[in-house]
Amino acid sequence: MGFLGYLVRKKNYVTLLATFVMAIFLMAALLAPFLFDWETATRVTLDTSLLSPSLAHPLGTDELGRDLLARVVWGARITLIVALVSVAIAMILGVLIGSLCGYYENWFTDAVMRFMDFMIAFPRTLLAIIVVTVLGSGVLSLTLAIGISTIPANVRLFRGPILALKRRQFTVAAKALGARDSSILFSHILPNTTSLIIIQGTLSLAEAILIGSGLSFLGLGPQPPIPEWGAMIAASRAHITSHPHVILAPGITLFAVILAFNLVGDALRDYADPRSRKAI
Amino acid sequence: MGTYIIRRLLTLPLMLLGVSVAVFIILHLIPGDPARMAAGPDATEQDVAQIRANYGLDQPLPVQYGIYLKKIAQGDLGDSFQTLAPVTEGIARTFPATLELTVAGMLVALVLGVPLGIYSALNPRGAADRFVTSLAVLGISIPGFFLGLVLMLVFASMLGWVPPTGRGTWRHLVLPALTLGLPYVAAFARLTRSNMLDILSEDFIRTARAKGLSWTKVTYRHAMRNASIPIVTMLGLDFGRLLGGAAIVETVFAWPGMGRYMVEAIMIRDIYVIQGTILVFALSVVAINLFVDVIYGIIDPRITYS
Repeated sequence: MGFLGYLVRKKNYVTLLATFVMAIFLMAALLAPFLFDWETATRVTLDTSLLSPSLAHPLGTDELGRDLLARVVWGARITLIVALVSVAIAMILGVLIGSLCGYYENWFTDAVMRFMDFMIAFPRTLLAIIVVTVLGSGVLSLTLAIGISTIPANVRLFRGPILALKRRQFTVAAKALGARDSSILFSHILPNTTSLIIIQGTLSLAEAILIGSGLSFLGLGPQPPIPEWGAMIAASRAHITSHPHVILAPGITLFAVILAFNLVGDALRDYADPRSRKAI
Repeated sequence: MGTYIIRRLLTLPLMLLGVSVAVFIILHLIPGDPARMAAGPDATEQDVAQIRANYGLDQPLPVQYGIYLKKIAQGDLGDSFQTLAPVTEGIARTFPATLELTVAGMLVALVLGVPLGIYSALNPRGAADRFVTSLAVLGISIPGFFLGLVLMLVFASMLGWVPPTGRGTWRHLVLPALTLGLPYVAAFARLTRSNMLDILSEDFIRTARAKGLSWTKVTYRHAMRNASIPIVTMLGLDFGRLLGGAAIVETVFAWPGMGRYMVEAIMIRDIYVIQGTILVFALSVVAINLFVDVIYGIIDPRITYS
């Protein structure tokens, strides 16, 4: 594997570990229904509440007696679905609007860019909160809120390279040969931004998980008993002093997953273009 | 430079109009009938129609927008459905707390970040340098609410140095300000470092050294002053971000700020409170950006607005 080999060669063991964490996260998300049934993750059994970690419950149980490992694993699935779909929305629309605004430079695309700049000035969390306010709380509106609030930044990010690429010789040549605008844009220009899309996608996943968990913590995301990490922490935080494990189990998992995506995204950037490495 | 500031100020009415239109549209996108909510659960159809007429909710949208603008100009943001108190009262009560928290968070980031950046610029490739790089990734990866709860667990519950929640003395402010500011320390350190490195290699620094000025004087007088320009820009950008993150930190520490006021209103669809708080948040962001641009024009005379 090229990327893993690259990490070993660079002795970047931290990122190698991050790739491993990412793999476990993906496995947990995919295999959740086979590892624990939904009942185990959601059924309230008060006689087992707030148990410390043991063999029967490796991460202990929460205040409603539910096995924390089962909830954390199911939480991975919810987190992955929300993050993947929201990043897909943000990337598809961001790349599309960004490339159109880069390819066609006129008063309309200028106005669109002005609007995007205006939106970027507003904090992401606040934008996402506003979208949730309009759509109501739940898994779907959380996903849309994260996706929509990321679009302006993506538009600006992808417009730059398109502006540069459309002045390159191969684009001019394609135009001279009589290629249509759509074919120039989609088969000549956009393929050149693939690595940017992959890198940005990975980093966006980290940000989507961060913002999503924050909104869920505020109660604007999936509603109980759905085991979302941010919502789990919000529900259990009264017990932080007496039973810290109820906060630490989902909290450390959440932190580790976001960190892993950020580290892998950074390493992918160096891997794709060694020149872009931060100058020292 | 005077014309730059005036021109920049002239864009303000346009921005305000944009914000007010956006907030007005949001109000109308929120599901739920404000007249019915204001009337309460026991109201008859007639009551609801009466309230709708009183609020002007039966008018066409552009007319409603006019009414809304006029009310804002009179300092009337409507009343909360839940407490029946004016929204302006709620904002006046909660906004100072949010501002206090955001400014304190910003100070944490500045006071820890800038010296760390200067130190690592003067000692490149040292331990501080590596520390800043690791800290940067950690800073963008840790969820604010988790950092806050861990700080609360360690410094309030286990060590008992500061109170866990509430607002009052400076002790109450310590943990929320750290939670808000710590993730930005590395960002400020990195920016300061790269600016300092750029500026330290410039001709005027060499000239200053050649004419016999001491290292301290060159570093802190000549280099630091020039390196501060991008820091001001970032201060403005991050101020908005901190303001956005305040809602989460306020919830963790039961800080009676506007973020919590907004989130609690969202939960019960208290439309006028939602609208008023979003408006004030948006205006704060616009004001900060304007302020930064003006400051920018003052400290860097090369900038002109076109």
